[in-house]
Amino acid sequence: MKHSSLAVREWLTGYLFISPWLIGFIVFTLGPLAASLYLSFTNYNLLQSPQFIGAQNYVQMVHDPNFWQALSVTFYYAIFAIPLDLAVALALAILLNQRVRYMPLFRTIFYLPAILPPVATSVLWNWILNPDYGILNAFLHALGLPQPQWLVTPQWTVPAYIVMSVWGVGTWMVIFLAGLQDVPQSLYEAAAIDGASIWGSFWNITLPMISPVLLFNLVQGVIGTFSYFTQAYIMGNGVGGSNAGVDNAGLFYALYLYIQGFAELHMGYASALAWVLFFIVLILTLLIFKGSALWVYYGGERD
Amino acid sequence: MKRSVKIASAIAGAAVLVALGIAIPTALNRPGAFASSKNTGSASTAAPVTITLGTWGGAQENQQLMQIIDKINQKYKGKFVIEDYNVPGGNYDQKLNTEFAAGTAPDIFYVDDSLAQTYASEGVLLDLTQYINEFKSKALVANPANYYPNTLVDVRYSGHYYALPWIAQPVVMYYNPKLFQQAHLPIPSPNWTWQDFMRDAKKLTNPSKGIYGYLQSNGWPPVEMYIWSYGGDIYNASKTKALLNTPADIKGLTLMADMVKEGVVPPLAKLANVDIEDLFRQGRVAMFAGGAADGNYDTNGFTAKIQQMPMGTTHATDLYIADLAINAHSKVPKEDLYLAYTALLDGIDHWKIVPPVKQYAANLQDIVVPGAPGNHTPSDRIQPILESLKYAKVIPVVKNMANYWNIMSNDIYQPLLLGQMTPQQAAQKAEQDLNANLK
Amino acid sequence: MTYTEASAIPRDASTRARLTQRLHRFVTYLLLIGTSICFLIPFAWLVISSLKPNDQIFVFPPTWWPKPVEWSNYIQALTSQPFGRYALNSLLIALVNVIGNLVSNSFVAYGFARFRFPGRRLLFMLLLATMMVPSQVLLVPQFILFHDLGWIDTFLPLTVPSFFGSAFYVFLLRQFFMTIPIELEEAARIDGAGPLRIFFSVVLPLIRPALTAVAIFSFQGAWNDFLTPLIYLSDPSKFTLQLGLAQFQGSFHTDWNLIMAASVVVMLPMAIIFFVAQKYFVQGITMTGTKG
Repeated sequence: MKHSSLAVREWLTGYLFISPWLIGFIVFTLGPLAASLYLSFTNYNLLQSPQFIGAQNYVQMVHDPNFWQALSVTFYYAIFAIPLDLAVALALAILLNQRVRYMPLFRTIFYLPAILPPVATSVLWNWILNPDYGILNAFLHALGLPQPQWLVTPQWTVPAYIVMSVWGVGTWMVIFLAGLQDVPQSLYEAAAIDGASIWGSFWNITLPMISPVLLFNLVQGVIGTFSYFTQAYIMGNGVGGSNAGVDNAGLFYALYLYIQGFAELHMGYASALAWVLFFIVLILTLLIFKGSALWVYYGGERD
Repeated sequence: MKRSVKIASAIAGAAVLVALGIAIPTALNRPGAFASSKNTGSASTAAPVTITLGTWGGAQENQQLMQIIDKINQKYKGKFVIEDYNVPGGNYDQKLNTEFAAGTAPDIFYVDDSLAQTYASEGVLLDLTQYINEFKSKALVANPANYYPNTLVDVRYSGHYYALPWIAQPVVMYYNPKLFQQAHLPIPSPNWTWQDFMRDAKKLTNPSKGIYGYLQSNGWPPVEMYIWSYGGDIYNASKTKALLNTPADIKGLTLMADMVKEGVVPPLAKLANVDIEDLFRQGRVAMFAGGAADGNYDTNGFTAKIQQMPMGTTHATDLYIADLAINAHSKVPKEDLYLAYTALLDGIDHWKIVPPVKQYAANLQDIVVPGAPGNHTPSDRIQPILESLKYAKVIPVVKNMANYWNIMSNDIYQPLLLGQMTPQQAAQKAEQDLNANLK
Repeated sequence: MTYTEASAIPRDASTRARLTQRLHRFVTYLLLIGTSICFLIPFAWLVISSLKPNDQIFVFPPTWWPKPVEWSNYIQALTSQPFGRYALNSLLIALVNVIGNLVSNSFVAYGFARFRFPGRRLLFMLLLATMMVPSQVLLVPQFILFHDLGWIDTFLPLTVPSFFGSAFYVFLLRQFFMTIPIELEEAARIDGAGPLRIFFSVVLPLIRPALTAVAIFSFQGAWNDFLTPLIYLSDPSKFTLQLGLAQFQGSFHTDWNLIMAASVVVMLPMAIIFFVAQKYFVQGITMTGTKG
């Protein structure tokens, strides 16, 4: 098969451009990835060398009620948090894209939650979500709505985390904002002249133009929600009480993985858990990419 | 050619940055950021050996420890230097375990008592038999016979010592004498019973003023204490079976359930994200079971006093232990390690409350306690603390401790404190789950 | 007569347009201010807590106003530990990360976006796949790797990887590169520009908002990173700000008032950087009018 020298040159240039990542992957990532895959087939308590045990970890997983609990908690969270956070992030980004004075100030205020040091967030959220004195319930009370027992009851544990996730949309919001910068104002003006409604121009102009960024946030959302860890870990650090909430209602998958690996020193099992999660997320991501051909519009399409 | 020039300049730019990263810190006269400052410890007798010490604790605590270390380093100048590597936040175990996996754990380090057995059985702790034989006549801390026996339960493995404790803190009952006086109640006596306690708690509780007699949250005070005070136990002697569903244990659980039934403790929901000991200091809770070193000297309008925990059929209370161990794979010469280990244990025993060594504990009043009146433990506290130390017990350690806490929280504390189950029901379920956890 | 008639109609339409514009602006301000208040209340609590003595932070029912106002919290928080050194460390790591990420990720993303080479789809999926393995299980093997390299207790594990691309930023920038109309690059190629020239002069300037985002996230990621410095740094003189904050958590007692005060101070540089970076968040100039 002969290739034109032009095509070969394109190959080489392409490889050259991605070479930093390729090198980094081989040097820093490949080894640990392969190691953790190997560890998933071992018994490893960090203190001694790993002992090969075949697929035992994977078999044990199927019979582990905590595994299924962790999966269901994580799926429950993902199904609600992803669409909610995407919608809120986009809405805020559009709001922040208006031509209004003091916009840099508003944008900074909206982004503040994302830069709060992790150490302080647990205290902050425990205060906001306090069933008796938290401002969230005070706010709901003022609206005449029922005030749930956030975090102290199993049924209101994951919802509490979903509420917290809205707070953290700063990153997605900024990315949407960057994407919105690329939408030419002239398109909106032309549509307005043609009599398009606000909703119409949103649906027919904004969404398609930011669809590449929407795809990014969606995929990151899937990856991020399934590996949700930091907030769950920080919130749960109490005396006697478990990180995982009442009746393990807050046993997020990555949290369970961490407990298995570092607290109970079952690093082999934790690795197996990790690779199962990997496959789940991989399949979901591939499905999303496959479907993306239907709704993602790349201005410089060259695929 | 332009292309390669651009690439070359990009790489050169990065290299310049790295070089700056080395040059600037060096110029600012600190250890170079890109060079490790950890000395692997030379075995030569000429230069002083570096001994790394792994510790936990906040900045304040660490500063106090540094003073102790500085004194040790002065004494052994030219022989060895102890470098303290404090791990911030609550992630000490995670970091230590990671370092074990890579073989970079410090030479001497704190050990969470619940992990001592695991570490010992996996060979990462140095067997202290030789050390004890050599030093037991030279230093009090080196002779296990000088320790309260209940502090040594977790540091022995296969008949050998692998670590030694540096703190033994029993749980005692703090109480508010002003509230007792206002309720015309006699202050607790050393052998007071749970009945006395309940009677007092009921009289002291005044919900309209937001004052409760006692406090019981999800996990604190440990329900194990109540069980022990009725002669019960969590497991059998060989820790192969859970004994939660036995009459004595159930009595302990009933005690806790009764606290809620009689309304002498704040409702559980009100305790979410509250500093519970602070409630005592503010005078909202009349009695609070706290660690002997908690102090509670900065109270609001009264002077806190302590007494031993009430009795059931016997005296019982919880004991908190932390240990110091030597890295089995340390490259530092044993002689230096042993000297440093001894000096550290000795130094810490003169700092922390309460030292697990009997002779040092007897001099409890001499230990400096910043924040206490006169900077020393008040004399009326000495007796209850020392008495408690005699019978205090450590919560039994099993392989899956993380899961143990989970089970206790979900099967005992939550259901009983929320009135969702009877003690018998809770005991049954908990025993089942604990047995499963032993496998 | 035609003068006044003709001008009567446009005046109505423009008044209507101006009114809608004003209404639009009013609603926008309302939403902005309303949401800002929502986002600021917790920060108000943070700042207020930072001015309280420690025993007033967890009172129930909670109080709003500190009495007395403890400005000394700030002094105590910042002087009880060498925060100046911590800040320098954090700054160094963050800046190197920003540069490393900007440089490496834009190259790699452009490679994936524009060039056809064998295995491109597979490699891109591989890139994404590296994000899908939870980091907790990679921690130990990576630590061992860096130990073998001799990089433990240095800043190297915290900075060098940023020069080799990161899946998150590559994916992000790739999406932006793919929105650029190919005609621009083809035009430049016809003019005789090589790929690097096109990359630097034509393409990069067009994704300035995305690059700004990468710079912001990169700085923030390093600034707020707690776990990696915790695991890799042992020498206290190398500690970062986040580790310093965590050191207020003692074994039996936490100085929450000091954590709050220090947190407010630690947050400020990030907020300022973000505020200042806004001017780079402007629409790319050549985008208008290219795609009809």
